[in-house]
Amino acid sequence: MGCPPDFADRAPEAPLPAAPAAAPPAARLLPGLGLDRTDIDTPLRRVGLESAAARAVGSGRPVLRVLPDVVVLKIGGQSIMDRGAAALFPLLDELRPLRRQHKLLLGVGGGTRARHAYAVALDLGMPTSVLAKIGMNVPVQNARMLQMLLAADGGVLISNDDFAHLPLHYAVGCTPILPGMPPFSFWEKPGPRGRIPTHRTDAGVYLTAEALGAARCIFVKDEDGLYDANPKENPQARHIPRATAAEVLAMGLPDLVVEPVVLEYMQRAEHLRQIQIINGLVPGMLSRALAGEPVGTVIDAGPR
Amino acid sequence: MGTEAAVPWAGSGALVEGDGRTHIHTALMGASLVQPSLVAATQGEALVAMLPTVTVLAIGGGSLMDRGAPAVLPLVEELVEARRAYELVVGVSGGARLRHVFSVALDLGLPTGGLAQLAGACEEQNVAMLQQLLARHNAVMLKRDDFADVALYLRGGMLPLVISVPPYHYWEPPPQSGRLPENGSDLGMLLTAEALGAPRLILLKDQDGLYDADPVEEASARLIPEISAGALLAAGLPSLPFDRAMVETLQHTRFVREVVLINGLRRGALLAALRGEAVGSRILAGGV
Repeated sequence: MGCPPDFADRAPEAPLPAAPAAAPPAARLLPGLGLDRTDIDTPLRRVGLESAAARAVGSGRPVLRVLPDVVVLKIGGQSIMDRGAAALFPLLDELRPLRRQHKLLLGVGGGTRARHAYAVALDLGMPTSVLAKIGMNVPVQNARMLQMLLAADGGVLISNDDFAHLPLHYAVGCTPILPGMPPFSFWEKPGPRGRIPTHRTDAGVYLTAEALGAARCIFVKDEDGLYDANPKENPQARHIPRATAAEVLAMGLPDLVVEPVVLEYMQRAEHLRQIQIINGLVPGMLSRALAGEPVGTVIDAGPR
Repeated sequence: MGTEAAVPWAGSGALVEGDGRTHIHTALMGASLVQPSLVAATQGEALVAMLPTVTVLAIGGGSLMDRGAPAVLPLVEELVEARRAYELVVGVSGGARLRHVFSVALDLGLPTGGLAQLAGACEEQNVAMLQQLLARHNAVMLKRDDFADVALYLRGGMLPLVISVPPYHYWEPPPQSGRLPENGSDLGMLLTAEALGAPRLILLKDQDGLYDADPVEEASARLIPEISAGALLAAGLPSLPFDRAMVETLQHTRFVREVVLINGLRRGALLAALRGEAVGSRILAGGV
């Protein structure tokens, strides 16, 4: 802690998007007299933002990767945190030296207390919006515990509003720790079935990685990845080492190791078109995954 | 109130150990929360609405605010009259500045989440102006973090003003096509209404309702007085005067029963809509 990490002097790996060949004209202010609108002359003026014309603006241009060398790790709530020291201490011992070689961002899940809060809220007749709101608190508790454990090694707790400070944290060798729930809160959409929020911590951590244009997103859980059945209930369950997101969704599995919405989003994502799920209870898996080995399960977005 | 769950979700609350994890006993204990049968079982029947007497209003940024005094001041007068009889929560969208900042951001190659992060600032400006105009009539800014204080504001006689766009920020999901965020102000106000348990959202824009074609471009465009969210999506209109994501979500709302689109340039339209008169277009919650 306190000294620059090994990656401090490394040059940025991805260039900024190239400028277009011809510069567009500067946008003009169009004063509106009387009831007319005061407008700004841009390609999006007077087209419905839902129209195909608006959707086409900027397409084909390369999209910036904001922090392209960050690796986002999700530490499972129920799968890791709720196991306490027996699971977490060996994992953190493995993580400490790795965090000097990689720009890690840790996202943290909820676990059994989130399930308890959801269960009580369901009993009380609460809608999806309230479940999503109260679902935010448990990942914060877990992120705080993780931060205390990693404080001496530069672990810092960040919130969803702190994205613009990430370069500072990395420059001084810190490892940011983010509660995994996305900031949707009361504004989570009600879904077609049931009241459990569609976007929970897997979705939040995946979307964090996609927004950053991060190099990778690795989910650290308590199974070797994806199986064709729940391996905790069915010893015959078969491990699936590699698949595309569409293949996994088409399998119609009764249970999944990752929130299904992640598999939907990665198929239309700009940058983060692969995720990896590894077993954090097995020593060495995290190191091997960070070294680029396809341990656990690798899920690809498939063709665009 | 008086909700009766088919499943006793809460369980005993006892701590359960034995598989290496410490669980709390509930019907969701150990569940991955992704099994379709479990998720479907959480549908429930009569849910608890936070403030079911509220009506939510969404004022168009480009369609109304950007027209300045001739459009906004008469509407403000009507709002003052309306709030005497109705509990209102009001939002306003971004308008021309939103389109400008999106244009610049697209030109710079910024990602969708980055665009979504920029949207709220344009609305904050519009809300700040509206709050100044209405301050003498108790208009106050309701920040997202203070959302649960909305009952205090309303029962204290305030007119709460909110940011419309939902707080998805960098976490805006990748859009189906293009780069623009799909979850805009209209959707955000629908979700605000849903979170409040409000039965109606009224959208104030600059056309008399929903048409089967663009009424500015095509003189033959016909007004659609009433349609369900599902039927509207199935109709496949080439463009919509509001967020498609709002219509998609309106198929699944538990509290919002309808979205009413009215012309905020017509005096009296807002009061007529609040009285439940047939004005503008009603988009009804639910499928086809």
